[in-house]
Amino acid sequence: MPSAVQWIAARIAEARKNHDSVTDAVSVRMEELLGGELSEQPLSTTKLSSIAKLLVADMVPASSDTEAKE
Amino acid sequence: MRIEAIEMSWFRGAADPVSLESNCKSLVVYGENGSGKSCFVDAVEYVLNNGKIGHLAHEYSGKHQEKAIHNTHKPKGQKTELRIRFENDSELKLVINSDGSFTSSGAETIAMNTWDYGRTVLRQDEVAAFIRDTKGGKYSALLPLLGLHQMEIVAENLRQLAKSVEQQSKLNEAKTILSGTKAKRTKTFGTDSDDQILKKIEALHSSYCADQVATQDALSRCKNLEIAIDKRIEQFSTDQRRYLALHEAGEIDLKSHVDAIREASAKLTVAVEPLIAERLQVLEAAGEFVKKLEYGKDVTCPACGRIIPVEAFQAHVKTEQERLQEIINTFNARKTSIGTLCDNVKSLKSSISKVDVKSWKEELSKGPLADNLTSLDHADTAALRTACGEKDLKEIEEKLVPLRNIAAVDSQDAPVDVQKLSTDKEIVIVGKAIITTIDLAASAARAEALISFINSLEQGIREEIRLRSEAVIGEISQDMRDMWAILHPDEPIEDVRLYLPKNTDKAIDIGLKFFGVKQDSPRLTLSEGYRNSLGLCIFLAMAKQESDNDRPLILDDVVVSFDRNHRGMIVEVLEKSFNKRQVLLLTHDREWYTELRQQLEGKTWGFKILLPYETPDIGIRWSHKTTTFDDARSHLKERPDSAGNDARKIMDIELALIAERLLIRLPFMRADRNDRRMAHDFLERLVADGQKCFQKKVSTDYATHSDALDALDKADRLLVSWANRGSHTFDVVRPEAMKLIDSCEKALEFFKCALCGKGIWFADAEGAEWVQCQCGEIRWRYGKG
Repeated sequence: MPSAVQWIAARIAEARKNHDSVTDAVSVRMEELLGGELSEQPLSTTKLSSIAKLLVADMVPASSDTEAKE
Repeated sequence: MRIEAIEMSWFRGAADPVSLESNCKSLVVYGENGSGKSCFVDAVEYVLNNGKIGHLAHEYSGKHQEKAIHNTHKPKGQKTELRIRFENDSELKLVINSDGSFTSSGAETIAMNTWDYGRTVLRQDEVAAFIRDTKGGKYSALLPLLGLHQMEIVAENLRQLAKSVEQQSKLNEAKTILSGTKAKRTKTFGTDSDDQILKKIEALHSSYCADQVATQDALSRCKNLEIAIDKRIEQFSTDQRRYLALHEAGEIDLKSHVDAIREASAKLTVAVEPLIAERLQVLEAAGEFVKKLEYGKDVTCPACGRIIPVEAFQAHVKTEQERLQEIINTFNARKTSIGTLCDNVKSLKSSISKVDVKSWKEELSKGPLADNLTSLDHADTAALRTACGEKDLKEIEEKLVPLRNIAAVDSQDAPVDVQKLSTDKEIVIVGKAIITTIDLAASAARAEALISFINSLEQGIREEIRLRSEAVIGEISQDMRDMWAILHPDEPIEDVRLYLPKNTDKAIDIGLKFFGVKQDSPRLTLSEGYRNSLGLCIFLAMAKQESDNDRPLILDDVVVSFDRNHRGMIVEVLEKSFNKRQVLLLTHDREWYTELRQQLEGKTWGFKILLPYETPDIGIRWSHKTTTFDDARSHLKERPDSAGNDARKIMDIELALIAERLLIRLPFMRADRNDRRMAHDFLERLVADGQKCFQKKVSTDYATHSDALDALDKADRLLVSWANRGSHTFDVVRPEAMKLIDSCEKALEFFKCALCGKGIWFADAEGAEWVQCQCGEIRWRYGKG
């Protein structure tokens, strides 16, 4: 059976195949989350909101100055 | 972790302390119905389930089951206590209070709190529970074995995270704004691309703002244009401004939004009415739900009233939410249309309130539309936004739409320059809205992509769960098949297995082949006895998955519905798969108990008998009857006559069983005297028939098993002389009793093979007329005896 890190990375890579606009920053953060907070216990709405905020911010491509400022 | 002893005081049927001592061996406990066997199992369940016992969950059992936990005749001052001792000398002690709650000590030193009751204890009425359970319930029962609880948490967190992203990015609000802008864009620009729109604005900027500093920023151009156009309007004549105001009013769309609201309302009525009818049951169902949630596996869903297992509740709520989603979408569409309609009524009010159309209004107030103007003056858009009913829509349709229409008609003959300015102004306003929503559209697209990505990950993890589940349930299924094959050799029910139903998350079911035909569920074809047998295989196969966990298995009267052929094979299953694990086997079947005593190794198994229950104040008691030759030897010194007599009693029981297996021919006797034959009756016939029937392998052939016959004959002679003397005259000395016990033990040993260790049995016999040991070293040729 593959280790947790291996299967998480494999699943993220697979999910990204159909989602070109998902940034590397989202990918990296999601990998950390899947191996950590998201797998520990059912998260509260507050905690999920704070994670969602970070992911929404991560979706802004780093190359765009205007968008990055947001 | 093996249990050394379970001791109870005034717990359930127990009175003064009674202890089930296993000495860390596996144990078979016999007791007739009501003797108190299951009280020991209750004690284990009480400990494992934090003071609760499932079969006591009843409206009369008390809040903490205090009405059922304590012995009904517990004297004042006596304590209800449980003690469980383990092989490492650790001990868990529970003192149970009068209200059924308890205080415990010693729990920190043992690992019992990690034991799962459902995978440790199997009771008579629970044998087929797994088969009866729903697919979701089966999945929940297997989930701890699958080791996927963590992944289930991940999947659920991802599902919730997708919702959070939707809320955080205000996706729904953005979609509403973008949808409104899109409608205006189509009306104003048709199918023009973004570039074409920007070029039109650029052209207008060159025309209206030629005197201003050139700017490349489209939004700045729009702002400049708005100021420039407003300046031009200020320079218009009164007539021109009236035309302009009426043109603006005539452009306002009221009717299509009124229709949209009506359409959404009609959809909601169809969908919501049955929903309301279902929700009326919620209050009633919720009360029952809360009561049953603590114990029962089946509960009434507070949302829809269906009977569902607690474990499936979350999944069911999810389905209900999805069902509601369509209604929510319609509700949101209606809300959006109401918002737009309110905005448009406000705009109409604003346009017609302008000073520029004062004379037009005065003219109108003298005609049939006077009431319409009053209606517009009194239109309360804030109130309309919160409650927009059919009466309001009718009012708008009958009073405000005609006003908008007359404004449109009266603005048709507007001068060309006014019409152009009006069109240009609209291009600027809508163009500005499009430009300002470009960022919003991009951020909405990113949010949608992120949500889709998270959903895709959730699906990926569910797929991972499925793959891993398949691997584990494949192993369990193989064990089930192996055990089933032992219990039901050469029977037309085969290929029993667990499987994951397609297109259903969190579900497991049982499949099999019935006379070669594939069946999706054992409930379709199997009898109760077969279901119980399959239930036992499933429990044991699941228990085998935890073989690393050295916890005991407790089987309480699980073979009640088994016939003796199938029951007899359980020993083989236990020996094959659980020979290193402690098994506590409780039965009320005396015959099976005696069989087990013969078949199971005394080194690893102990045997206990409970006395029939008399009264609550006497409580549960053990029988101290002699059950083994060693027990008989233990009182050789004090009571040799009694020891000899015990040897005879053992021979009576054991030889009766052997005679039955070998189909020994004995004369039929009336009534129950057939069952009261003595050791001598059997031995006499065994020795006589054994000359032809009892054979031992010699090289490749068989010869009469003379040694066995000599031993049987010797035992018979000693029993007739010394054992009878011991029972009747108590005149047996120690050496005689010792010789009697040794001879009896030796005689019985000849029915067990020295090579394979198995007794003469039906197993692997060559034909119908043979019974033999497993390897065929010894056999009884009863057919031609």
